Amino acid sequence: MTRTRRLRRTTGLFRTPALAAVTALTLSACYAGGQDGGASATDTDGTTGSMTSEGTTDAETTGTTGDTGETDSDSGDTTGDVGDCYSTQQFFADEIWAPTFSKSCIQCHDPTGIAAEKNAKFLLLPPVYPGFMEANLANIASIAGYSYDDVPILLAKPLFLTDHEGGKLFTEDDDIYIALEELLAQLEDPIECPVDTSGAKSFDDVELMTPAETLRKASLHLVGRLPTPEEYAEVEQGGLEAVADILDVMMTEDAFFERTIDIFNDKFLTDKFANGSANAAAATLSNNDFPNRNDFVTNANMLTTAERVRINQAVAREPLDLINFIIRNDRPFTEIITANYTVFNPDSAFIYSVKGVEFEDPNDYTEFQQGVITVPRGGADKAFPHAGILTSPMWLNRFPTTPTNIMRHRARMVLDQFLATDILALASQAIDPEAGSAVFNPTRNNPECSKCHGLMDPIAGAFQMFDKSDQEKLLDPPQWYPEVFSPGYLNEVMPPDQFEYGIQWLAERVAADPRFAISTTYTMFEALTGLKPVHYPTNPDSEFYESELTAWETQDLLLRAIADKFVADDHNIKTVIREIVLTPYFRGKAMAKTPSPARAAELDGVGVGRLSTPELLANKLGAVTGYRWVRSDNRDYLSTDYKILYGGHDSDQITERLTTTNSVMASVGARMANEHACATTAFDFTRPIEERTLFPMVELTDTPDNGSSQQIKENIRYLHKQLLGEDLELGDAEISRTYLIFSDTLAAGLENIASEEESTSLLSNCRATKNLLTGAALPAEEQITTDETYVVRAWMAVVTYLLSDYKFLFE
Amino acid sequence: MHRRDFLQFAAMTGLAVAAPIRQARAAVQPYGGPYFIFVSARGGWDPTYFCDPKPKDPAKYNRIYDYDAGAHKVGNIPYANIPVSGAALGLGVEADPYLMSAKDFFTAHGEKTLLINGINTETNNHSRGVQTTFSGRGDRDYPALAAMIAADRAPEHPLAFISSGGYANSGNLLPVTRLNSVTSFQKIASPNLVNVNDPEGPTYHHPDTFQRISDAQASRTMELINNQELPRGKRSANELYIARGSMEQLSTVELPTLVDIPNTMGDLERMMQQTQLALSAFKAGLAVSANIELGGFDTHSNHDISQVRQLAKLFHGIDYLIEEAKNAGIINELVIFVGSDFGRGKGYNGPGAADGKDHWPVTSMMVLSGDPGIIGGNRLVGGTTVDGQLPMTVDPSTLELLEDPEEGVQIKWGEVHKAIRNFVGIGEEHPFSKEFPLIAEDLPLFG
Repeated sequence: MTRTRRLRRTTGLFRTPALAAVTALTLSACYAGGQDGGASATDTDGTTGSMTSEGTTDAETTGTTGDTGETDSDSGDTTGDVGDCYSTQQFFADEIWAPTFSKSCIQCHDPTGIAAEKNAKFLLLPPVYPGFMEANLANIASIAGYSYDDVPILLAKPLFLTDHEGGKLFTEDDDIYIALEELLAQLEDPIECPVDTSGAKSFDDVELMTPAETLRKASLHLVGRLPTPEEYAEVEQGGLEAVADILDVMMTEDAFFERTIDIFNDKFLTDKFANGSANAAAATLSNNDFPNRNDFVTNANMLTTAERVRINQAVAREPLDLINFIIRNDRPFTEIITANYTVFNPDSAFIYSVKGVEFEDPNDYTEFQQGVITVPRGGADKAFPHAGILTSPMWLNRFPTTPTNIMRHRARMVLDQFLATDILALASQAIDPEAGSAVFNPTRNNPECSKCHGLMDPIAGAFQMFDKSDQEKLLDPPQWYPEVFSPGYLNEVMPPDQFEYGIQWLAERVAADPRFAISTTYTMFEALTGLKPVHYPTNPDSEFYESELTAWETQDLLLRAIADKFVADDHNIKTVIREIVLTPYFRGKAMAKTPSPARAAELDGVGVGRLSTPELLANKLGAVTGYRWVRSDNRDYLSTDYKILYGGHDSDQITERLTTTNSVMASVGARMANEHACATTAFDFTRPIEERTLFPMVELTDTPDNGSSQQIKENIRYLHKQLLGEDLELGDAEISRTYLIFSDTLAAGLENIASEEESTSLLSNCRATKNLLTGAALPAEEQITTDETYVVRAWMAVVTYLLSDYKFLFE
Repeated sequence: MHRRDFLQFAAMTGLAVAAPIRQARAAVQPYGGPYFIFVSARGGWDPTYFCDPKPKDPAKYNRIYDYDAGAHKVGNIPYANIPVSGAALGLGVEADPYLMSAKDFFTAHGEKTLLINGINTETNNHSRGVQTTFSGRGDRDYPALAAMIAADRAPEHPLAFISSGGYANSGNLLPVTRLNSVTSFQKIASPNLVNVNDPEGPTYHHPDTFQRISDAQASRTMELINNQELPRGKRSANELYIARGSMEQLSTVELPTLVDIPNTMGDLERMMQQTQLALSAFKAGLAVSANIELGGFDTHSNHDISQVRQLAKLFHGIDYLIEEAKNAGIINELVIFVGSDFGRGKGYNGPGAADGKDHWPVTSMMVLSGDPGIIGGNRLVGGTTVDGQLPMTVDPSTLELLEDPEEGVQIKWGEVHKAIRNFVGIGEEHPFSKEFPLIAEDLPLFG
């Protein structure tokens, strides 16, 4: 066994293990299906303080030596020197988990394994479970104090000194034995390391964006605008701390809430019912429960299409608007599943016939008020058991159930969307059709089925107050099935008097589960970097296994530290965003030298190179040029005509974004650059020079031939900065390259005019005849319709070149 | 050089960035076939309702049709004799031209069809089922077979793998392309043309200027690639460079007028439009494989209407695909794979007419080729038990059905994909198969 500490992988990643924080993640509780047959976690085969057949006792951590104390990662209560800290958890991961536990022990001690069936307390979560390493160590810590004949039970079992169905697995001479001994010793006083979320050590060979560059990137991403000069000045003075402060302000701007709509729709896909439809959302609602939807769906009131789309979108967006309401009001993000209310604007309030909600301005469709959905039951109004978006009619319809699926689809979504747990990955075993059908009530009685259903079905039962066919129809009373696992969460059974409000009961527990914070952090990480969090590598034969492991460890530590901060900050989602922006995953810019293949594999997902989504690119285009690229209906081309071609999704048939450029996408970029350069170049010259966004340093009379080369280059330098974020010297080769486009185009164009190959007139699309910002016609004397000097077209070429540049299309 | 090799080469050595972009463009020759289409019947179809018929027994798997094993088959292909009509299926008579029964379908195309029944999908979950059906494994993040084939044959082609639905995991072997709008595609295929309906009309930039911009972009991007050592940045710049290298060929795609059928069949219309776009890309020599999808098969309720209706649409859609491929002159180069998430059953989930069938891990697959000789059409492999709708084993050499489940090989998707991989030239020794191995028995499904 290699006992050398792999400091390259771990040095500089300083973290205080939050073992106590995951005690809520008690492994046996998670997966044992413990409510079946009354075999609860507390009446198993053991007796307190001693070991019997399989597994440890039911006693919790009392009397053990593995209690690691506080969980506050900011406490600084750590051991180990900065720069050379090797935590107990890292030791466990390197020397015990990777070589042995992940390969042999987990075969039986997996939550769905044979040991779990026998209620063993020693369980090992597989890597698909977020925070699995931390949870596994916490589990070991909880049983570390137990022994058999003075031999720790963790050693006595595999030495076969006592009953162990797995038999004898190693001897005192084996490396794993030595490592376990050391681990048990360390657990008496665990080595804890603080986490450096800046990544200064782990990414010391990566050049990070300057604070100003970070601000520009974050600003374009989050609020679709460039930073103001004042904001740049603040950052000049205050560095990254000022960036964080400015981000806090930006995250109150309306544009930020447009971005969060996109982020959370990528996850919840409820815009399936919006998408420019005139009635798709309203049509999903029950005729009887929401009678106002009837005339709307049939358009009995002869509304215009635009009005219908607006009203329908208000209904479709209700879950996303709720999320925005929570963020906007700085409420704990847990409310996205625990809020006992939802929000309405005047349109959605009308469709839902909401009572008791008053609007300051009934004509303001951006005004949102809290309220409760009620439906008529038994001659009275019955309130929805609101649990954030989990009870949103749109979420319920987006993730529908059937009388035989009985809410399992929704249970899977709860696990996936809020707990970062892919139940399909937890249950990798194949279904045997013969075995499944040979057992009565297989989901409960066939271990092959109950492994997953024991986890999933109790969550499904929490949705029992909703109809199994009519997705958002509230049942009175709720209905569940005796043959199915009882409603509950993990090993906690839901009291029957809670069935009517079961989702609320569930949501409180999900929100308190450490995985909720991790899941939220994962969501924002993907939104901001365009990458899913790295999976724990499971193929030791991979050429770069060590590098993949390092990449995972590095990112896992960092993201869990951010999740801890999120929790500590009262579940403030803005904390997560701010922290991720400051990481090398967002700020990585370059490397000074070519990395080794192994190091390259470690850094595979770090830094620049994220292809902008259609929505982000549309915002960026508007921000840096001052004008949006829109259709005649004023909607962005990139969010409509080219959305799918450019790799976007429709929340329905296509639900994943493309992240790799293809030729079609490259061509969309080319079309965008051509059309936008055409539309904006001449117009920008009609504006007063101090108001121009593209040409503040030149006039149309400036040409190389009349001694204006300097001004032209200055404007090119400005454009590189404005459009691409490049701060170049005037003599930079890139300035020269761009200047050549201008000058060569100009010279060739003049020749073409002389030879009458080209006209002096501008294309009608490229003429400046109206104000692009207001739509108003320009006075005749301000219009630019001809280009005798070819200067407009030369600048068009420059703008096209820059708008289709890699640095424009990618973040 | 294959795209993947090119990317790796570029990423690791930087040499590829020295290749002149004009050379890269010239290197892409039109791809001449064979072409591959993967049709996904999304939601989980019921083979007993079309290709794995069972005796009528309302308590079991079939309560709507009579089955005579001797009579109800076309050649070697059995079929469920269920008549279809728009009126009976709630679509109105205007739908009749767009519906096709299993009998009619196999009568028309049975000679081109290899039917595999009794495939054990080993899952009842939709997403895992789709993943398994179209990649060969459900427990690994494997690329779609369509992506592997495209990456093997013409990775540098601009539309090599088209997927506007279905399982689109490319495994980073090549980019996925989505096509959904003729109008928008026309505009981006000729990005310098002001009015795409006037090919000889004005351009935004003089062609020389447009070329000047492209050349400068290529030079700048190369420089960026050379100077960027951070892997993600280098890789993404490479991807853009390569994507641009072949984008001008998009203008060679002759786009069709997309079909417009009655509104009650919007899903079929979408499938047919996907077909049109894919065939156009094939015909232009820019694509190798495409995913096409038809949803609506998840018939937990109202099975006897909804399942029959969707199958009738599916058969019409495939028939349309074959006819359009004939019209395009590429039918003899076309291979079509048709699969679903899993099967349905066993039996109904309730006694009522409006009840349905739930997920069942045993399913079927159809492979069709315009040239029946390619796959050996009019063949049936595998089967399910009459009593249990359970997968039967086959002799691994002769493919004959075996009565004893302890003997022979049970067909799973691993076996099917292994055979297809061999068939399309990405057998066990191919780098893709080494990177994405299948643990399965060898079955001579394609001879």
